[in-house]
Amino acid sequence: MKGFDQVEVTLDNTRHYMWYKRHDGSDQRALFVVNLPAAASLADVKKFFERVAIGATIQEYTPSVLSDYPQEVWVNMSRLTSDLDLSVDSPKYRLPKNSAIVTFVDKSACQLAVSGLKKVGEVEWPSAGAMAHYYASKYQAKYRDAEELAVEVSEALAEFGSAERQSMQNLQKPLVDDDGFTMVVGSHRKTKRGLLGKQKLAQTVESTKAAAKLKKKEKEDFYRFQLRQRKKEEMNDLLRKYKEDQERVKTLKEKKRFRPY
Amino acid sequence: MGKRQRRVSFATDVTEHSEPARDEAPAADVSDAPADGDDDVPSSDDGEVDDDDDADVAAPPAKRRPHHKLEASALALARETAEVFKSNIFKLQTDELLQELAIKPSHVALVEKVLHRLHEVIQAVPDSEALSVSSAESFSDQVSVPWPEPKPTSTNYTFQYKKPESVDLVGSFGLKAGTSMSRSIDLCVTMPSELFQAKDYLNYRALYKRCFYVAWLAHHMAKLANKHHLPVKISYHLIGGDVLNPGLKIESVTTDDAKNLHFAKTKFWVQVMVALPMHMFEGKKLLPDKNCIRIQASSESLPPTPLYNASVVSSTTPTHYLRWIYTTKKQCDGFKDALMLGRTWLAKRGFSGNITKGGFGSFEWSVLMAALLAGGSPDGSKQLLHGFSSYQLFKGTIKYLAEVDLLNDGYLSFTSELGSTSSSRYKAEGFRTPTIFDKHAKLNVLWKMTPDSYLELREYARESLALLNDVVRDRFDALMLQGTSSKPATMQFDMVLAMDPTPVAADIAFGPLEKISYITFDNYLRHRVGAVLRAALGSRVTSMAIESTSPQSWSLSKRKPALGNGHYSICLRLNADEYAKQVTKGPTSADSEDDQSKFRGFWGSKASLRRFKDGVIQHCVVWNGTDKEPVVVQIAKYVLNQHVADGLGEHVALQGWDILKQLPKSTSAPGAGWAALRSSFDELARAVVGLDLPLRVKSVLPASSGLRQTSVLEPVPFAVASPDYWNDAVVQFEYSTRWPDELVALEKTKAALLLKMKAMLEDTGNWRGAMVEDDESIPFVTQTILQMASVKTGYGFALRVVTERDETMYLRAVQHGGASLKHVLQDVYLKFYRQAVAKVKHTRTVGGLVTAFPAFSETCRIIKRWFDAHLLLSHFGDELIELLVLKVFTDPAPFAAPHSAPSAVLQVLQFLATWNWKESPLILDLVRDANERDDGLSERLTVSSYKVIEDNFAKIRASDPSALKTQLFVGSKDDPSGILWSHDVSLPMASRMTALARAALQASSEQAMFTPVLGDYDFVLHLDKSSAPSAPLSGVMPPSAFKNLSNIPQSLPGDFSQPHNLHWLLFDDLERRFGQVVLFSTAKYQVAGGAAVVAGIFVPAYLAKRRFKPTLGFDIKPAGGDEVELNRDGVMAQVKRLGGELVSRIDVKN
Repeated sequence: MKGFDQVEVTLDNTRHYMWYKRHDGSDQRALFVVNLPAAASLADVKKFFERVAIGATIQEYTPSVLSDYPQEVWVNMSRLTSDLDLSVDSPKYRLPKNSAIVTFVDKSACQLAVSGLKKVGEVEWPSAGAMAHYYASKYQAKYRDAEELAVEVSEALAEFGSAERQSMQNLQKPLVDDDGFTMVVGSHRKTKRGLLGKQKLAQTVESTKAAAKLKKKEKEDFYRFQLRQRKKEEMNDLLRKYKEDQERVKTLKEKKRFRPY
Repeated sequence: MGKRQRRVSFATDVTEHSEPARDEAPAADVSDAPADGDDDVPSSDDGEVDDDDDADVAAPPAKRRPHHKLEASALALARETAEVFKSNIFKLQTDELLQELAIKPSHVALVEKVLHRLHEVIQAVPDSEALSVSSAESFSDQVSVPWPEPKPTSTNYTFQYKKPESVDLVGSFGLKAGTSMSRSIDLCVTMPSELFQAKDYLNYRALYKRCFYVAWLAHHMAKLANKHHLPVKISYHLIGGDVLNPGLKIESVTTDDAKNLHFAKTKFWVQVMVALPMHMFEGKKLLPDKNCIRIQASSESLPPTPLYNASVVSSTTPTHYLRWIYTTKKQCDGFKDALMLGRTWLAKRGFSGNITKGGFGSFEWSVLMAALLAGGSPDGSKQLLHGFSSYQLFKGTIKYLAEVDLLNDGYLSFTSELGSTSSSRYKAEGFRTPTIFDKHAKLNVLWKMTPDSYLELREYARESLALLNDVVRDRFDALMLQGTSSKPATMQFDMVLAMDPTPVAADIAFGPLEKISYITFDNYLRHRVGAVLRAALGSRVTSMAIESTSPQSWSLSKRKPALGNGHYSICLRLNADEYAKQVTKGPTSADSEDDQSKFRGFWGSKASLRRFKDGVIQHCVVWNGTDKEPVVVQIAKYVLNQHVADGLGEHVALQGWDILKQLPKSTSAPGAGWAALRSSFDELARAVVGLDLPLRVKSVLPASSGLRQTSVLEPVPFAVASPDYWNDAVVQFEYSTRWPDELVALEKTKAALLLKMKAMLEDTGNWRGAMVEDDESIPFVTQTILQMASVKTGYGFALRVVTERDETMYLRAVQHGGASLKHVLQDVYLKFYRQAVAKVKHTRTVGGLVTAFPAFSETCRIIKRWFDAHLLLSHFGDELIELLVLKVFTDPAPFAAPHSAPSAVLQVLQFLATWNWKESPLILDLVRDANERDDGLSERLTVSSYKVIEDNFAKIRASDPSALKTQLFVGSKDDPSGILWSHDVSLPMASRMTALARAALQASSEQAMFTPVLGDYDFVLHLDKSSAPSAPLSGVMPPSAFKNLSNIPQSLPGDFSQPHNLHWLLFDDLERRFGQVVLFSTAKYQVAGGAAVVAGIFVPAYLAKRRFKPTLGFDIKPAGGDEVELNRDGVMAQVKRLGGELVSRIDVKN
């Protein structure tokens, strides 16, 4: 199926199917596995490959973030809100839900795993069910140690600061837009996207103000034709509303809404 | 030149040449039209029109295409209705309603035939001889004479039947204003005057004579009807519920004989009333303050007998009033339609001319309307004009009922004399009984009403007047089509007490004096109980209805109808601000000794003299209301024992309040938690604002259900296991341009500030905090939250930072996401907006309404508990449910605004059960002004903002006509989009809510209403009870246990990261992993009685086969070729594994 091979495992006496293929651009060392059982950990995957092919030693196991996330695709909000070159996209964010990349120590280990998977008919998935402490530890992981968090925050902000400085230097060169105007960059505005967004907003506010001003000056009941035009519009409006109402009552009537009993 | 041009343009657009519209908008209210004359429909010219235009209209050009003619007439109609009626839509709907109400012409023809034949039958009844009592009583074996109590004994007068003076068709059928809603046709048989003597008005004599007349008539009609081919069943029937006035009820009997006249299919029946001749008795002697039943009594003067007098007088008037009303109707085009509208309005509110149903029906309505057409104000100026449209007449009458007091302040005096020109006037000083007095007939037309029923009617009129004055939306439905009368009393009234006086009936003093004043025991009891309760409850209640059922018809062979079941319902509308007060205050020591002794006399041993804080010494009664027995019930029981019959209080039971038991008992003092939580929050806010941070904090805003008094569990200090323990709050900093222009860094900056905040607050020693990461509330964004709990007060808050940069970021993401991600990113933005902006706004709005509607908080909590009991709470969310509950408080029509939680809960369920989400947007006006005048400063919804919201709904429905995507639309000023809180409610959950609400209204007990139905789910995981959250740690008193203080936490735990609800964590984990293919449901408040289950339904869209793709993202199995399908068994196995030891049993639907 589309270059994928299928492998069947048993999970508490029910059948579970996984698909795998060699992962592109990993010098033949990694497998892309689709539809892993829920909450498959590195230990589970290790044990599984021990059962399938002894010697297929795993170096790295990268499960998709989405497997344990209530969304179907991952969106990088940093990239969408800024064009700063910040974090490198980790593959775990790009993998589809319930899939993973299993990287083996070397090419031969990977080869061993593939041939093992092809040979084996049906394997028992190694992990046991979740325990209460699984949820407890998951919950506790959300609570961050203040010092650790402080270090993480300051690192992240430092990284952001330097990326921002880099971008500022690039921006200092004058920018000429489509209409030939030179864009002036204030010292507190930092990125191109931020700048454009702001400008657009200002324009719309300005234009509505201008329109309002123009309207104020205009006298609406000076000419006879204006008066007549207004009367006519009012009449037409009244008629239109009447017809709308008629229509509404008609639909209500069709729904037998006028039965008072 | 100008003229020529105009002609040309006329041909192209006719509308230009009609007169200009009035200054008023079409929807504007014009019913209070100038009262400057009797001229017809306000003429349409307007002064503004110039002469040329008028000339054109007068002489339209010959060349006019028919299409334009049509338009012109439609336009004329549109203009007329816009001015004369409230709005076009109201007029059009009225027309439809009237059409629906009209009796079928074929039925009218048939009924007329029947009436002719009945007339023949009556004319054929033979005269009797003059009989004595004993022979009159036994004139027939089959027919008993329906004597009232007391039976006539030896008399010096005789009983006789003679040909009636006249037989007339009266009532609404006679006025040709009959509706298909009421099924009785009134036929009036007037007795000849030679049967009476002038003194017969005394001591039931005239009434006894009539009883014999009725019996004779019935006996012979029953015999003669078959001969005239009119097979009927005849029974006795109380006219207007008046026991002194028995008449006949004639129903069609179906036979096989084709010659016979059958009218059963019309569903009509004929009510024959026997009238006394008009002006037979001297009106002066039968005035309401006269005594006409002479008995031997110890006291010097006998009490007046108003009921008896009115019954006698009104018996003389049916044909007279018919004539008078008919004359008025002839003069006023809109009269008939207005009468039909009024009648429908009354019927929808359970009113009719029957004594037991308020005593105000279509007859009283038409008399009032006719009287108002002849005046009505103190100076006799007209309240209604003959040229008014039916809508204006209707509204004017409602307005009069709503605004004019006919009980205490004054009464309406009019004359029904034909051809009289004297106007009716409102006269000051009322009679403490509702009064509309006819000077001509010397009759109080409202004699069948009690003060209680009058006050209730007035309350309805006030509500309806508000609806009629509503220019924002179309209120026809609530006014005319939806009724409350068919709904249970517990839904209509704030409090319903069932009373069964039978066991103590002997102790209730019903002597001869009471008998002549009140005629029946039932009537006396209702008056007595009403008077006592009104005196005792005072301002605690706004209106009261005492209802009982008694049969109105009975067989000819019996003298009296069977007794009713003897049960009474005392239905109260409460004054929300007053009803729960623990103290009933009386006169102060400075008041007159008379008042003081009266108060002491009324309250007996309960009365006490107290000194209040302000130094006043006052008589008062102190109550200690409980949940089971609120103060009002205690007072009612006490005074009924004291003043009606000893022991009666024990036979009074409060109805429907068991539902309050569904709210869990808190371990701290009930009701105290909210204020304490709020003050603890204020303390935190002050502390945070005062911190010396790099950027100053502008404000800390509340955003949790606990802080707006709507959380299911009351806030309890240190109850960290409660799902409502951590109260959300939003921290706003002063404006800064230095926030990072990138989302992740922005969040990190917020985290840095929160870290500082935590350290500084903890340094004070009053607060303990923890940093928590939240990666779920807003998808793809990891936010940091600061949990802060007060060491002293024990309440917890979860602080988030919101900056002015956030919204720009999310909008930018939507802009840059491209078409493929648009949907996802809009959802992200919406979730952000909810959390950062909308929750704060919502908390502010609802927080304000909580004080305006004292019953709201409790109602909301019970309804949330109901949603949770049915595993729906997590699908709807707190805010949405609060808005749904607010519907019945801010827009209660057709009900009266509820003032107690039990009735409000039923009204909410009724609303949920009947609202059609597919067709109607729910638009709420959540502004409560102290003065609801439209001085231009009101914050209420305007026509245009209402229209905007309506248009938003129309747009949504245009793209999703069958409402598959968006079911619930709840718009308000805070959220014109209407989907902010409801866009993720899926169709199955929405329809489940509707179905469950319907079932709840049918449920036999409160317990059944809250029992979840698990059979509909594909699978149900029953969770291990031993791992359920602990009740005392959640602040809930365990139902079976005694208050064990040792279990209740007294301090904060050492570590906030200790999980308390593993079930909730399991549910969350399942949602994250399988939420795409399975709709999971669980109860959030297990400690409050929610079931310990996680139930799941497979989403049908994922059950179909599809081509294999590595990106499908859910558990699949091969299904032949390169197709795959959902591996249901696999999902189940994985769910079971994830559940592990937390799951005790799994039920799978086959």
